[in-house]
Formats: sequence, C-alpha cells, structure tokens
Amino acid sequence: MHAERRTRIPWALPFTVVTLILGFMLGLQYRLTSGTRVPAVATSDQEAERLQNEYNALSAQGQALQKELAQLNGQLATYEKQTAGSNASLQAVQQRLEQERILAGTTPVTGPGVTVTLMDGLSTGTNTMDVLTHDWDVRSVINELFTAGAEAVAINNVRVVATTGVFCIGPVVKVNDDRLAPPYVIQAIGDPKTLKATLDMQGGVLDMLRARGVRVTEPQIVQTLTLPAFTGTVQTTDQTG
Amino acid sequence: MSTQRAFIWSLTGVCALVGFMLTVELSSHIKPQPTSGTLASYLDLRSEIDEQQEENRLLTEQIAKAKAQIAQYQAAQTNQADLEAALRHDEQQTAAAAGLTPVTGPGIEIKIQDDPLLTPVGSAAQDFQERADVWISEVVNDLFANGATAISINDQRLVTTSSIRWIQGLNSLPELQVNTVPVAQPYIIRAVGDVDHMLAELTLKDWQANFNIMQEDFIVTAHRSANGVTVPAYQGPLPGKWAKEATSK
Repeated sequence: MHAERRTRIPWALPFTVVTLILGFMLGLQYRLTSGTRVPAVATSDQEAERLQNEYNALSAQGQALQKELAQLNGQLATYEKQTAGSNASLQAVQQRLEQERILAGTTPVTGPGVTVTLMDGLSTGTNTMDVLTHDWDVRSVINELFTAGAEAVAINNVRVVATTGVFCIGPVVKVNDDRLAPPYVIQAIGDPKTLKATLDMQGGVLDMLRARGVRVTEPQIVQTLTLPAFTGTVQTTDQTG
Repeated sequence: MSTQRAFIWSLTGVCALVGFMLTVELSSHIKPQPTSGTLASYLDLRSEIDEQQEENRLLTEQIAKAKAQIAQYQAAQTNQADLEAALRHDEQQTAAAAGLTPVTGPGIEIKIQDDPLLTPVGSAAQDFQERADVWISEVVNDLFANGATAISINDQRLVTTSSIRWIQGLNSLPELQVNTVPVAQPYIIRAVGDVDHMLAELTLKDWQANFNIMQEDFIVTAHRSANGVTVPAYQGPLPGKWAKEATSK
C-alpha cells in the first residue's frame, strides 16, 4: 500500500503540468476566437482610415476652392479698378468696396499683425475649470484686439466676422460652424505694436488668463499674416428694401 | 483501480479548467492599445467631414457668385454705363453684408437696466457693476449663434470689428463703450433674425433670472412683424489701413 502510493506521485506531477498547459492553450484559443467574433476595432480602424482619406480629400478640395476664390477676387479687383478708371467718384466707390469686403470678411486678407496662442493649463485635480480655455476667454482676447484696432481676426484659421458666435461644446470651442480644439491660435491684422502692447498690458486680458493657469504664449509680431475668407452665410440684402 | 481512474479524470478535468480560467482571466486584463478607430475619433472624423463638406459648399457658392460678377463686367466691357452700374451694384451688396446699411425685420428687443427693487443674490449683486461688458457680450454671442443676423446696442451696430468694453469714464465711474462710443443705461439690444430661435436660447440660458440676481432688469420683447425691429447702419471707421485683400492673379 505504501509502495503503491510512492509510484503514483512522480507520474501525477508531469500529468498535472501537461493538463494545465492544455487548459492554457484552450483558454488562449477561446480568447482569440472571441476576439475575432467581434471585430469592432479592426473594422473601425479601416473605417477611420477611409474617413481620414475622405477628410483629406475634402480638405484639399477646400484649399483649392479658397485659392480659386482668391484668384477670382483678384480678377474682380482688376475689373473694378478698370471700371473706375480715372473717374474720381468711381475710384472712391471701388476703394470703399474693397474696405467693405474686408469688413464683411468675405475676402482673404493679408497684412502685419500679431499672433498669440491659448492652451489649457495643467490641472492639479481641483483647478480644472480654471485652467481650461473657455469660450469667453477666446472672446475676451478677440474683443481686446478689436478694441485696439484689429481689422481682421482668425482663430485656428477660421475668420471671425460680425455674426460669429464663439461658444463651448464639450471639450471644443465652436466658431461659426467649425469646431476647434485647443491650442487656439489667434491671429490679428492691425497695427502690430498697438496690438502687442494691448495684449502685453500688465493686468490685462492675457495676464488674467495666466493667473488662472491657462497657458498663453507671448504675443508675436508677424510682418505678413494671411487670413482666409469667412465661408458662412452672409446677409447681402438690405432688408429695408 | 477504479479509484485511480476516477482520480486521473478528476485531475485532468480540474487542471484543464484551472489552466483555461487562468488564461481567460489574465488575458481579459490586457487592454487593446487605443487606435484611431475608437468611437470618439470616428465621430470626430465624421463631424469634421460634415463641416468640411459644408465649407466647400459655401465656398463653391461664393465662387459662383464671383464668376457671375466677373461675367457681368465682361458683358458690359463696351458700355461704360453698364460697367459703372455693375460696380455700384457690387458695392451695395457688399455694404449690406458688412453692416453698413440699416436692417429692418422680425426680431427682439432686450432692455437691461439697474433695478434696486430686485433682490440681489450673494456675490452676484455687484457683478454687473464690475463686468457689464462680459455679460452683455455673452447675450450678444448667444443671439448671433442662435439666429440673429444683425444686432445693435443703443443704436451702435455690431460689425466684424466691433468691441464691447467696460472702462473707467472721465467722471471716474465705469461706462460701457460699444464701437468705442460710450453708451448709457438703459442698454437696449435690438436683434433682427429668427425670433423663436433667439427666444428659445434666452429661455434656455435663463438670462432673465441671471440678470435679476444682479439687480438688473432683463426685459425681452418679441416683434414678429416684417417691420418689427430696425438695426441701424454701422457708422464707424472702415478697415483697410493694415489689412489688404489677398488676391492672386
């Protein structure tokens, strides 16, 4: 009886190991099979790639359209100048037309100005709301720039016009119909020195943001900024008739 | 002998089961690496595509309009009077788009003024006295984002280059400036546009209550007729000193 028990032990141990390995392999096979049964990640990867390609194509098309619009504006400007000719009255109309297009935001513009970037700060857990860049923060910087005489402003290359609403939707800011994610690069055309001095003012809008923990770059003077045209719906009829 | 066979089967079953369970348990803690195919990025991409499509559509419209204007100039090449008419027509259309013509239509009027009879709530009481520009800007922003096509504050038309500032006046009291022009209470905001849409937003944000706790009246009146509200033309300086049209030939 005692001898029989001794012979059973060396046989049982390798058998146990082999059976455990068998169970391991069965489990692994099960995981792999169940993984392929719901191929969500693989499929959405392919779908994301397809969507990314579609977006890239649309974006390239948009850039081509912007370029075409700029070319047509150039042609229009030439016709307008030719039409005005040496007639002082028509020259005044033509010059006013150019100014009006800049004010309406319907034409791309170029000129000197400043650029400044706002980014969410690093949260310590208790100050999250303070360090986030909110819609009113973006609006307050833009308001400051226009007060200082900015003639055209864009946020992340989206032109700001009279009817532009800037408001938060979850983690992004919606400007016109575009959803923009931080960092928010604000570009403004105007007298560069005045714009920079306004932003750099002690206790001014940028200092207040920095005090809250929002990351704000030093405003940079840029000799030639080019801002795109506003591409939303424009009210072109005088409703008074 | 039958006891030994039962032992072998039991051992086989238990070990295989333990191996299986261990594998499943361990592998279930291994999370797949986040990829661009997550639901959030999928939805973001879908939204970006929709936005880009809309932008391209609007650009195509603007291109068609520019082409029509060019065709008009080309058709009038031999007739100076027609060329001048085309130029003046363009100017009128653009002036309206820029806010340089008055606009009349259905809209709303909001009257904001101090009201000592209202009961202030906590720290909100002095808030309007310190940041009136921020509060009024918020309201204007909401209106523009919800159907307003033209807005004025105390007859100062808001255009692209407008600003609303609360600054120290000459008499040491703060004053509101719109387009750098001082305006006094009551502040009258007039907005032409989609009346229902604007009213819904004001209700949703509960602006009246928000102003009331700062001891400010916030009286909204809807004018639904075609002659309901008139927003005057912008009278301030025009841009063009620094910003020039970016044209490529």
